[in-house]
Amino acid sequence: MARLTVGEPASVTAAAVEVRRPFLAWRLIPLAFYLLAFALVRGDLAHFPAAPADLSLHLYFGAMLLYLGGMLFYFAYFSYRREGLRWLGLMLVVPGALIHLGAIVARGFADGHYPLANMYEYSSMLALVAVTVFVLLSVRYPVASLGGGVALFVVIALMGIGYGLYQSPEPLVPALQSYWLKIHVTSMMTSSGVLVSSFVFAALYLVKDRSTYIKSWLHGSAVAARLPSLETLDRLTFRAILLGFPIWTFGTMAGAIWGEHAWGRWWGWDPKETWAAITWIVYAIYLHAHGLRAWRGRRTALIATAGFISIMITLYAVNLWIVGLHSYARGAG
Amino acid sequence: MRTAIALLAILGMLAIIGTLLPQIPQNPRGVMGYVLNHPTTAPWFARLGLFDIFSSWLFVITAVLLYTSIGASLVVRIPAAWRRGRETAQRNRAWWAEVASIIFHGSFFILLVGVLYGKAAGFVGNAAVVEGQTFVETRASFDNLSEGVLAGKHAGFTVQMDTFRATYWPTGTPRDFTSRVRIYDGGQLVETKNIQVNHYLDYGGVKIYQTGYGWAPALKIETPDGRTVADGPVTFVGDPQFANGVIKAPSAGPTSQELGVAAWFLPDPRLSGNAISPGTPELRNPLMLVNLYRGDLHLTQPQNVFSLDTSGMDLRWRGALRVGDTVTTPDGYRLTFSRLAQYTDLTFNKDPGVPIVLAGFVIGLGALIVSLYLPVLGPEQRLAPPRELI
Repeated sequence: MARLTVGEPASVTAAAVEVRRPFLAWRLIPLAFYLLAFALVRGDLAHFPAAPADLSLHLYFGAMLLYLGGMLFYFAYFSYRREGLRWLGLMLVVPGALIHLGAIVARGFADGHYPLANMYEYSSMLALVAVTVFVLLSVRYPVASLGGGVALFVVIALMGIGYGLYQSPEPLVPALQSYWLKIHVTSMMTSSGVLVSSFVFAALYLVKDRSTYIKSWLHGSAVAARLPSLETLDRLTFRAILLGFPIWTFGTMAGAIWGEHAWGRWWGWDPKETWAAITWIVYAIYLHAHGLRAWRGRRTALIATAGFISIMITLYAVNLWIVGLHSYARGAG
Repeated sequence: MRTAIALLAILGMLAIIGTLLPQIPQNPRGVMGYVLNHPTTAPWFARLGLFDIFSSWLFVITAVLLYTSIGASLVVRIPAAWRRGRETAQRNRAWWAEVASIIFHGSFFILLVGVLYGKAAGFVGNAAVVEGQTFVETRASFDNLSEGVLAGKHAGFTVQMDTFRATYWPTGTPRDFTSRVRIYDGGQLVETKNIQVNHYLDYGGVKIYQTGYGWAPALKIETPDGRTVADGPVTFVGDPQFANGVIKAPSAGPTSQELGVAAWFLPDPRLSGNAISPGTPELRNPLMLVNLYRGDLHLTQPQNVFSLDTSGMDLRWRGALRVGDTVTTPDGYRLTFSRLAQYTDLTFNKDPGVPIVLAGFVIGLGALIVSLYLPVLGPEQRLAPPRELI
């Protein structure tokens, strides 16, 4: 396929960007966020390395704070289209991701084991993977504007859910004492994070697509007009699923192997297993539908959205409301 | 493709039903509760097999159709790819991706063969083995056994259960469950191992898993004429902090004078006044609550060893015993809490299909990655950053 957009003279756009420099005062805002994040962890750093659990939680809040700032800048960039605003956003998101990583490492020290054993820890890892995918994508693809804001909104929401399910560090129950925990859960979290970003693109596709309908309230909206083209959004959704789907497949297989290892059976139709399979089926449908020209576009975007809902059910709803073998990962032990 | 999409969608929806409605194999109590609460809809759901959806005809037919659809597509695609592949010029990236996609779809048949062969040529059985006792791996020794049609003779080795230990963190969460076992084959000690969760024992292709544990108190019952009618550890079931068990002593007397005991064992009871409530599952101050019944055990009818039908029996004595205690009831029966052991639920699993399934996983995943990535790796496929945003 040919390059997606050609024609617009590069020099004109570059000049437009050069002229629109952000106000100097705006550059102070990230500084304010840094100071706030530092204030959050200052008390813990004073008696470091005692109480790593508190340090971890405060780093978690610090990361949320920086993501919030990043989200505001990305939305501002979307509105004002000043390149500097995007850079300011990145200057908040990247340090945010670094201290988020620090939060996970500190949590690991507090736990005394690999920190992926309850839903708070899952949420934290999931959010970090989603942020990382987005930052890496934004280097190459111009999805930073609205995609960045929406992705960070989703990330902050996930971290909020995670905090709602917060659990103090605990040693691993015997069922989880296996190296398969690292392989299985890490791959499930990584693929979930990637597939969450595919949902962001699919959702933006649906918004953009709606705006082409004359009757829609989104018709002619400035927001939709500034989104990347439908084709770009479709491709980005597809690419993210292309990355996430094999990892999900691997993670599910690793879970089956672990099940064989721990209980002597590959598959037992436990609700968590069943929902992992349902999610796999939804993305399998996506890939088949994407192969059909007639289905590519709105239908595939809807399927990708269904996939996101299925992931959220697999990760959260099953543990919270459906009883099964995976319920040791429930909020309160 | 549209057939595949439709069948996958149906399969997904059936699976969703399977997680919304309680399922008999996973959650039989949930099914009971659902049936009691929904007297109008439940019979219809049951008729459709929705309470055991993954073995219902709806699910099986969909899965068979899906496999047929994959098979039919392969029947068309393999010869076409073969013809194309004979010309060197045609063997481009798209062709290799097609080959990988064929292999990926074919790997579902490898998985099917592996699972079916494993079920047919293997067996799953389980047995509760009390500390100090042995278990001989033969058909008759299992509490439950499901054997495939091609399963051969049992190896007949002996599992000697030495000890079971449950350890806990100071917070009370379980730390480790360990069963120390020795395997004897032909009278020779061949293996000594600690079986733990996530660490099974593999002997001669039979994997032994520790799937549960419990208490096995021994209550000795002597009749007034001095005969011992019950002794030895009895496996108690239920939560380890509040386990229940049943002892039946038909030899205590004629049909109307048989003895039955319904007992509860609390390893760490909480006593406040006259009330006793369960505490932790750790052994601190163990107590057995005993209800001694006398009457007809109805042994002529099919029996559940874990429940006592007291309809033809009278409660003759109730009380609490500590390890070593002996009481004489007003009727003259002597009850002794003679010793306390633990037992492990061992699951024996022989699955010769494991290597085939693993091969299916490796081949399938490898082919999936190749088939998905080859088409997008070409230079003409690079996604150029569009400038439309700037």
